[in-house]
Amino acid sequence: MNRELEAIILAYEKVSASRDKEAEHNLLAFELLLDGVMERQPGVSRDILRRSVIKAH
Amino acid sequence: MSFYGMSAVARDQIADDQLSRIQAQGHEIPKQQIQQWFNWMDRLLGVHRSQFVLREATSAQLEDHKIAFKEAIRYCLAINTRIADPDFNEPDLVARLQVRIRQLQDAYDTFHDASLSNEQSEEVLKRMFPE
Repeated sequence: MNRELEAIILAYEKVSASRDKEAEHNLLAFELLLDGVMERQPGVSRDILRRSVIKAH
Repeated sequence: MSFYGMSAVARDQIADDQLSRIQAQGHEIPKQQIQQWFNWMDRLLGVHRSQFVLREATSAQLEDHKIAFKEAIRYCLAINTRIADPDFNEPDLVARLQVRIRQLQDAYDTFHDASLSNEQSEEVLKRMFPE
């Protein structure tokens, strides 16, 4: 598996496993990783990328 | 001295105090109920993780999952309408609810997002993250 994708899926795993304030922090970190991908590949829908990662998780 | 034997000023003061207490309860009771609701959502998210993400669910279980999460999201949105009112003035509660709404929606989409098939999502990831 591509290492960047693996890192993003692991970031979502942290969101899934956490609750409340910790989840808020982990969610922010996950969204920032997605933003980083979008900056390099702006032609792709962020929403589709996000949902694809969550399905892959 | 009875209530009606008091001066009008004293009676007004008692009435104001009662109203203030009831108003304060009207603020605290929803906060307590929302905390209970948070606890319930956390249990639901825990079941999602233990019974659906880390195990393979049956189609009947997935149908129950769909109903439970749809109801939870709808109820959250209704609560959000209430507590996002600036007069309620509980921004921390609003932020905590927003995170749970996001988690519930993501949990729902994991299995019931008909607008994006597993094949489509795999194709997107292959294209964006070549090995």
